[in-house]
Amino acid sequence: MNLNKSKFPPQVHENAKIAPQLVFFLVIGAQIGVGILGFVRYIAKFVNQDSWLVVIAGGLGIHLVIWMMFSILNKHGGDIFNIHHQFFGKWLSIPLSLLLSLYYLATAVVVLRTFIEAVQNWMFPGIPTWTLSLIFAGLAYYIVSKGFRVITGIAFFCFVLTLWIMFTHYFPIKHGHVINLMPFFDHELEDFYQAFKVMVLSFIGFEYLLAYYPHIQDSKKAQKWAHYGSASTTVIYIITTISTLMYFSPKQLQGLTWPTLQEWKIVTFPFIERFEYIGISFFGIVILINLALALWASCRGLNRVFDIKIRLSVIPVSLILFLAPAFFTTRFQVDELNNYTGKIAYYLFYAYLPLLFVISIFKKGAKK
Amino acid sequence: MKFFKTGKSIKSNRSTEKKENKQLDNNILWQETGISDWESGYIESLISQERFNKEVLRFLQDHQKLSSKEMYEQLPFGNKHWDESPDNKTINAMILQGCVALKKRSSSGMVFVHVMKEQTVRAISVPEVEFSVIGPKEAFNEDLETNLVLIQKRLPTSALQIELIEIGLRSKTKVAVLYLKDIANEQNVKTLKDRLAGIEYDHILDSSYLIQMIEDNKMSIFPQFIDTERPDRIVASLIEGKVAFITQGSPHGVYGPVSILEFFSAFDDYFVSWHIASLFRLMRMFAVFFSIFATPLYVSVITYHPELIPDDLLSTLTTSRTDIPFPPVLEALFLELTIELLREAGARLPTKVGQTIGIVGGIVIGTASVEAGLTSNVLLIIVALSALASFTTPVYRMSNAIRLLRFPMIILSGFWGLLSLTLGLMMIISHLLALTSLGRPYLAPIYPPRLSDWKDSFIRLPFFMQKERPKQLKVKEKRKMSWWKKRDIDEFE
Repeated sequence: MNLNKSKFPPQVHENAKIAPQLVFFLVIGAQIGVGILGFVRYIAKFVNQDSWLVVIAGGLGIHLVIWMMFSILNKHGGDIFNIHHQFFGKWLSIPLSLLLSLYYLATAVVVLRTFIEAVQNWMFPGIPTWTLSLIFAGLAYYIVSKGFRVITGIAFFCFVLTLWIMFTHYFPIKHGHVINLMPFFDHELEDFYQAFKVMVLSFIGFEYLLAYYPHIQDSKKAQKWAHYGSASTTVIYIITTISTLMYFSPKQLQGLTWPTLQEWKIVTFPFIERFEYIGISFFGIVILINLALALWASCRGLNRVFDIKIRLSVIPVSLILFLAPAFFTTRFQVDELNNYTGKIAYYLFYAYLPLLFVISIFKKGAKK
Repeated sequence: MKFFKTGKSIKSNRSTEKKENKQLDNNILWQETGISDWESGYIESLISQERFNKEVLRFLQDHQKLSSKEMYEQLPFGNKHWDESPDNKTINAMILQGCVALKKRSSSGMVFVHVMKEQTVRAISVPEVEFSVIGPKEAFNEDLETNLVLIQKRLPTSALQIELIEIGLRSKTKVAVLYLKDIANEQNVKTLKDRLAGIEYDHILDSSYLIQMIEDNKMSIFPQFIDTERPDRIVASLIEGKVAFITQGSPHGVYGPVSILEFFSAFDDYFVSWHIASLFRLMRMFAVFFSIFATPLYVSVITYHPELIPDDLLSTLTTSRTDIPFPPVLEALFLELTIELLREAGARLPTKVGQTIGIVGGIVIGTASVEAGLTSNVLLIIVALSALASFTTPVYRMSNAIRLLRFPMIILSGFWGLLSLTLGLMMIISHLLALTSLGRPYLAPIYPPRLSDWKDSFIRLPFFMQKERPKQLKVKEKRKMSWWKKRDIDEFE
């Protein structure tokens, strides 16, 4: 074990690097997860018809965080683990990097458990949690063991294969009422702030960049694409929010756990009914990239801190991913899991990263 | 670089080989020629007795006074060899290649003259697997030299490099590696040559041996090289910047690196108009998806999500299934196996009998099993269609892989319906993403996305639009076309 590994920026082989444009798919793929199926209810609890404003505000906030992230990374080079080492020294950096690794793994568990819950509620009521988590953890393990380029490929395919789902919002918008969106700006600032905090959970995913930054060719060029990715996520969320708000009345919305799934019930084609089955199945693809990327980032953290080979660490970490979801059994527990992760993410984005940003202003950058 | 661990059996083979090398081969016929004090040695079955008598012996007779060295210099043969003091190993090797050894009793020097018997080779015939209505109808045969001629006469350029290596510890099979010096990426050439040179195996009887030994991922069911019986296809691939090899005794040339989309392009796509070619290609790709996913979709929908189907269609499906005693998974597996059985039986039998088997199996068994209430006729249609669809893939290896893929998919769909089917799809995609062919990504140009390479992938655009070679091959000379000027409307030359 070499605890000094994170002292130096990682050496990434040219063949393991990705083109900067592909960061777009990584960011959008990791941000959009199972949250899109239900996030509208949580923000509508506070701000009802103004939810879409919160989505825009949340998106803008994320742009700010991405900008800060890139200025830290561009200035000091390497990845977050190296930066921890530079800023806080060897011994303080270890717990910090470990916590970050743990957080990455937690995001994977959240996504997986929530998706399994959706499957259990909508498709297969009796299915045991562990069977699904076994398959997903196994698949994520396979993808991670094939390397970072394959993960990026999965992100790309995930985007291409599931983009069409967005067009199903045509149906609820067609049947919806514009009046549901009126009046604008009818809530207290405090409410907006609460909703904004909740919204952060849905934007989780771009922070894996902290770990895979050295895997990008011309890393500095990737900033543009990360912003595009996050902006596209925001647009997709806005469309989802508006269609949900238009279709459901506020009270009805609060009674639903999965508003987007509920919307899909009215999607009909001449040859297919009950679209939500297809929708949920395709969301399996969407969450797969979340899992793979989170698993990879988590293992990468262990690799950078303790110098454990990813090939080895991915086995126990994916075992945890397989076992953890089974510990959350009730709706309440899953909800709590989501809330806590959302809170951690909120402080990570809006307290910890700004802190790092401030430190980085005063620290000398990496030698060219 | 070694790709095969040399096992014990091969090692012991080598030691016996060494022992053999100490003495001369038993088959060699040593005798006096009767001309001054020359003796000759050869293997009767290998050399042309007529040429030996008429050319070699007559020359000896006419120039009796020459010493061995002078004789070597003056013999009017192109393929000859001189050895001052040969050991038994060289003598064996030379004679086994079809040489006659000539030696003066007084001196130790030996002259080898190549007078191998003209092999009778199969005539160049029409390609049977990759037949095309339009276009050349020449196919490779088993003779390496004939095959090389077929390529060389299509590519009369000095840039064409042909490098020979011998593979196979015992079979000593000649393999020719071909590429165009000024186009092909050196890295690709080196990878292929290294891998071929690294092979240590007793016998190489066909190019498919080599393909399986040098594939990037030997555990994958997807083929990572294309083998073709058409010389024109090999030439086209060489011009694109790929590397090819031809094996002695194999009627197939092999080329790489390839991407998955190339397996769905038939070579006559280039002979018909680009509209038709594009349509056919899209159809083939659709057929692949249909072939893999149609039966599993049916199984998962009928088993788990009958709500997906609109009322009118559902009644048709349910009536066809009312009397069936098996769950859909078993029913589907049973039918798929039957089809595979028919295919296998047809493939093992002579053509005429095979057709009969197809008809008997297809019509009689199909109708009977529906009437007996063992299978539903809707499923029968789907299975038959997906079997048909799998045969549209022009490369035989690929169509096999696709047929094999259907079975795990059907079993998966029996677990959790559509959900496990999408997971299966992702398994295939992640496997394909990880695959490489000669170190180049297998899924190109889909991923890594290179839109400029799409001109000749899903569709084939007209030739004048394909000005550049595929980027993923990283070739030296990018442009295919020197210049193309577009004239304006009402502008003439």
